[in-house]
Amino acid sequence: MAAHLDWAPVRLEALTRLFETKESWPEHWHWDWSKKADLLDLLAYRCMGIECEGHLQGLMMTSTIAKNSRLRPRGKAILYIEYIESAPWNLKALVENPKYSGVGIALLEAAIEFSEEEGFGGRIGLHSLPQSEEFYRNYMTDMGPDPDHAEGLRYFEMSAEQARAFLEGRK
Amino acid sequence: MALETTKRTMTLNLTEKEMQVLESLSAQKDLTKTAVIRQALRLYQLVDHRLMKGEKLFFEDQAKRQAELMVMM
Amino acid sequence: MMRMSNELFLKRAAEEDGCMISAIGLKPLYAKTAEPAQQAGEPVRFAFRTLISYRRRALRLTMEDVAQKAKVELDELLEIEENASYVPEPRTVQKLAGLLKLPIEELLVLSGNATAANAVLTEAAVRFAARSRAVEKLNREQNDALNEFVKVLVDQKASARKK
Repeated sequence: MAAHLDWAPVRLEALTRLFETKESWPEHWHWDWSKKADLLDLLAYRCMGIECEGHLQGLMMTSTIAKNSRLRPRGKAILYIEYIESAPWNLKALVENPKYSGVGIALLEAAIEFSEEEGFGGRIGLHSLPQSEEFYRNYMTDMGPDPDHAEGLRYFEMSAEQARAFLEGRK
Repeated sequence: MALETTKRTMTLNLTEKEMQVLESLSAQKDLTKTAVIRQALRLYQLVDHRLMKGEKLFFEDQAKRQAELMVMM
Repeated sequence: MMRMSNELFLKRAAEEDGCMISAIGLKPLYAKTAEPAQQAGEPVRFAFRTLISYRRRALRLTMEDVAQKAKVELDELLEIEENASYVPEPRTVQKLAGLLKLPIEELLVLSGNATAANAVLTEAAVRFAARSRAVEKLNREQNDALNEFVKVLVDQKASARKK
């Protein structure tokens, strides 16, 4: 988790420069990792990061028990992405020349793989921040704003078929 | 990609009823019986963890009225 | 287990094109659940108003200067410095933090936009509020109070970073 902290100054500095844009303030900054690090001791949660050039480029935390599938067939176990984020220097919303692309794709692929390892068939689900909805809509089913979510974020789910299509390059 | 590749084997002694439940959940969830047991273990650990922290576990009915589930540990 | 081909990965990565990918789940990762002790009460809000006002004056800026340089509305600035119950937009707080060189996360807590991780910040704010009085120019005592409070904010930020 300590490696994740070197994102904070870059993120802050980039956001400070973004006064003029109409982007709403991203919620990231108040995810208090120090309080939640103890979750990592639990079997249900798994954390995965991508490191390149000595820096953390992307981070993802998943749960095997948080949610059941809402897409048909319903009520099946899915791998739920509790948290996923790319380092601020990889985002065109925050910096002029993003460093690495493909962090999201790589983490999604990893999530599908975790899901398959668990016997969940590649099914995954997540609640997207508004700025990321466009990205997830390419590969997952947008199931609309979730009233059970603290911030009413839109819930996206990927079925087993969609997972296969994602890996094979089909739409 | 997989984290832990070393697995240990255990023999589980279950009653007839427990076995039926295990098989039923396995069929319902499309999971192997092992996967069902692992999910159960994860859920149990998580619930216990939070209860030990002093939190409470609730089920909420459709009408959003709360019914408290007391899980005695 | 099926993996994406390299060509497909590269194609998809290019399409990703620096897009935001953030997702956040249910309760476990939210820090928003407020513990009553850490919620910004009246003295903390007073500390926020006073901090902004004093800092501005310590930097020898008029409200008009601040409004112009930070690109905030003058009436919003007046609300911030004079209205007891006003909670500014996070974006405004961010702009002020930048201009006045104050730590943003701590400022967001003080302004009522976020909850404090611990009681240290809240206690320091209350002490600062108690020591402050509204006069035209900062006297020595007020300067000392201001500097001490700012030091706590910076220390808070530094210790939050270390975790």
